[in-house]
Parts: sequence; structure tokens; C-alpha cells
Amino acid sequence: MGTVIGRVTLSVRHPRYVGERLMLTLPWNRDTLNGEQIHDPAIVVYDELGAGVGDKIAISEGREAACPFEKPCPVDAYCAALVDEHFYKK
Amino acid sequence: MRIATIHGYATSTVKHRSLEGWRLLLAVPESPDLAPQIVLDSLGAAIGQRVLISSDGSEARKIVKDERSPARWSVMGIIDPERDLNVG
Repeated sequence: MGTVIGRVTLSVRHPRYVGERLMLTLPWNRDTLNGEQIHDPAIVVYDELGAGVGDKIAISEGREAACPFEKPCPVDAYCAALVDEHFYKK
Repeated sequence: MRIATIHGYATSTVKHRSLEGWRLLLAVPESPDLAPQIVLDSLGAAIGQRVLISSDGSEARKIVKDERSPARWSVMGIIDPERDLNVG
């Protein structure tokens, strides 16, 4: 899980990143779940679902992040879902 | 694989098509080095249960039957409460 805090735009970019949405996102850790304003260091997430600043998203990291693309491409964090609600019981 | 405890779930209407209809649970791994994860659940794990989760995306893709799915973590099994106490 992560919270989108901004967007990254690139004027000079890898050819595969043409027309992309790259969202600056704070990944959640245990403290975040417990309601604290503490997150892991920010990462950039490739988004095709239209995530906006402040949205909660489910992030797929690692090799699986590149699976949705036909051609192999250098994406290691992908927005798999816009989270409507999450339920957490300590 | 990792041992984790299910602490909740996430609901999502806008998501990758391969995740349509699948339960997305909130799993908190027992080892502190791994952050809480949203995991794909096909076994019906409940909140409070300890589960075995795997980051093998190919397994998750088999579950959702979509080779383009970004799914990574999935529930491999639900750990029996009684038997996991007598270690070795």
C-alpha cells in the first residue's frame, strides 16, 4: 500500500516511458497502518489507472511490475489498484 | 515465502482487470524487515489467521489466470494454530 504525494514528469526519458504517468508515492509500513504519519522512503510508481495525489494505491514491486507490459520495460513499481477503503484491525 | 498475519483487507473498484473478483487482504509479515503487503487470497483466509505468503508472481498469475497480471504476493496456505508450536 502507498499514498500518492505527487507526479514525476520527465522531459528526457527512456523510450518506454513515453506518455507515462509516474506517481511519487510513500509506501506504508507498520507505523502508517497504526495511524502515524510515518512512511517508508518515497518511490516512483508507474500508473495506468489515473491515481491522483492523496490516493491510496496498491503497489506491485519487483519483476511482476513489468508484467502488464507487452514489451519488456524498466518498471519495478506498478499501481495495481486504487484502494477505495482499507480495513485494519491491530 | 514468509509467515504473516491477516490484519484486514482492501477494497478497490478501479484496479488491474486481472484482480477483478479476487480478495485483497492486508497481511503483516512477522519478520520486521518486510512491510505490510496487500496479498491475493484464493484460500479464504480470515482476519487474525496466520498464513504463508509467497512473492512468486508466476504463482499469483496462475491463480488469476492472466499472464499480464501485476499480482505478486499471494496466500500459499493457512498455518494450523496448534501444530506450529512444537518446533523440532
